[in-house]
Amino acid sequence: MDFKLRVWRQKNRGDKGRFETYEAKGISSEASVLEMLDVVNRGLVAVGKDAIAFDHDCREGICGSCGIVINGGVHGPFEHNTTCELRMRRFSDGDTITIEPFRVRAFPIIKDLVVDRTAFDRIMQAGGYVTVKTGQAPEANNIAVPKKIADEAMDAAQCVGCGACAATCPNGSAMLFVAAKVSQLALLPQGKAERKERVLSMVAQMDKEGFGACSNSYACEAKCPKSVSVSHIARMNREFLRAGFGS
Amino acid sequence: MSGALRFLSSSIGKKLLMALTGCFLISFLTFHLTMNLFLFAGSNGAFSSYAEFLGTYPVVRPIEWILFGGFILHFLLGGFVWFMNRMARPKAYAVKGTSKTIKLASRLPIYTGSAILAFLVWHIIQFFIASRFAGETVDMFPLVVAAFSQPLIIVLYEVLFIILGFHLKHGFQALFQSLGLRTPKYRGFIDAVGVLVWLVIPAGFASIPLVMYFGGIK
Repeated sequence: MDFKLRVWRQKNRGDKGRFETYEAKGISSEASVLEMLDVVNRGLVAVGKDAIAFDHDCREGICGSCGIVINGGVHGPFEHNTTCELRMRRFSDGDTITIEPFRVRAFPIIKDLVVDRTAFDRIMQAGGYVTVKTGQAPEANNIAVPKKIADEAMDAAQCVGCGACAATCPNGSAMLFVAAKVSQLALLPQGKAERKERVLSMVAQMDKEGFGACSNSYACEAKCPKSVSVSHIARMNREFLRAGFGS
Repeated sequence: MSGALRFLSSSIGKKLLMALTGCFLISFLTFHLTMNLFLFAGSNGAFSSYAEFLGTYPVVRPIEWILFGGFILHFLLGGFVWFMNRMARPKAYAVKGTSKTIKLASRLPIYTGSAILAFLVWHIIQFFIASRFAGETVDMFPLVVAAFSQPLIIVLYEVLFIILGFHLKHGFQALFQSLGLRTPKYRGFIDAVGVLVWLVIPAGFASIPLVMYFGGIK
């Protein structure tokens, strides 16, 4: 398959950046968008040009590294997938494909399509953990966790921190990410002990990083590769209220 | 106090205040509609005496200030949050594809809210100031009849009620989400009650000028 690509090129954080046009010829319909970029890069390097920088790691939809915006859609125009899972057969031969980096103030562009997502790491460092001494792994039946609660915690824990929620949110808000982390820990016995400090610190860090607020558009849920539900945002709001008004 | 201030000035705290003031303003709308429906009782009905009571009874004054405060807080917070949200994405996407997954209703509140604010200024001048600062007790009923005898004013009011409906459609369910109450268990219930709020309240208001214009109120 042949495509015309409009790719965002930006040398570094200070560079203004601009779109450049490339031809991607003879691409397999089974190739992912990332593999197509690999082919284009091989061509660029062969003629001594700078390769297009983009983030990638596992290439099997579980690491959350490959954050790019394709034709205005985070991870492509479809719902609940990562970029590495997006195959070229979903496009038509001869299509013009526009590829941009995430546009979120808290995710500054490092180069081309690579953005700095360490804001998420700092939010995690602010409280996304437990400090309680857990000792040896206890006998499983000593701490009873009902199946429903365990499932909900697992649904939240599926979040891979890819940043698609913030990138797709009209407000560049990280609420779904933070909510998934707060929710996962608040649901389980080990996390309950520090739930109050956790939600306050994580939300404070989220605000400090410059993410927007939630305006309940639920675009994040529609785009999340792991289908994390916005009901976790409701839980985080509840946790926040509890922490703020509780004694 | 600083702890409470810090709490309320966080992004979630601001949304919480938006939700609480929104809830308060919906309760006011319900009250306002109930009062306006007395218009259907006609010129000798309870509307004029009700309006006179609200305009002259001293206990109503502080409640009026609380109401103004609720409106101002809701508008200021709404504007501030909207501005901060714009700042969170300094550069827009070149292709506007993400909007497909964004519910339109969630992008409207700032615009519908601004329209409601503009309307309110006019509405307050038209009825509140005209009656309260006239220097003498004004009978509200003829004031309303005079306003709604002009088709242009009726059209403006009807358009506003449609805008109000859209504002409430998003706002009502969003307030439960912001309060953390929109859980999967109650989502259906909240949406069902929401119809009463965003459809029935504006429709109730909208019926009054129309019925009045076509002679249904004597």
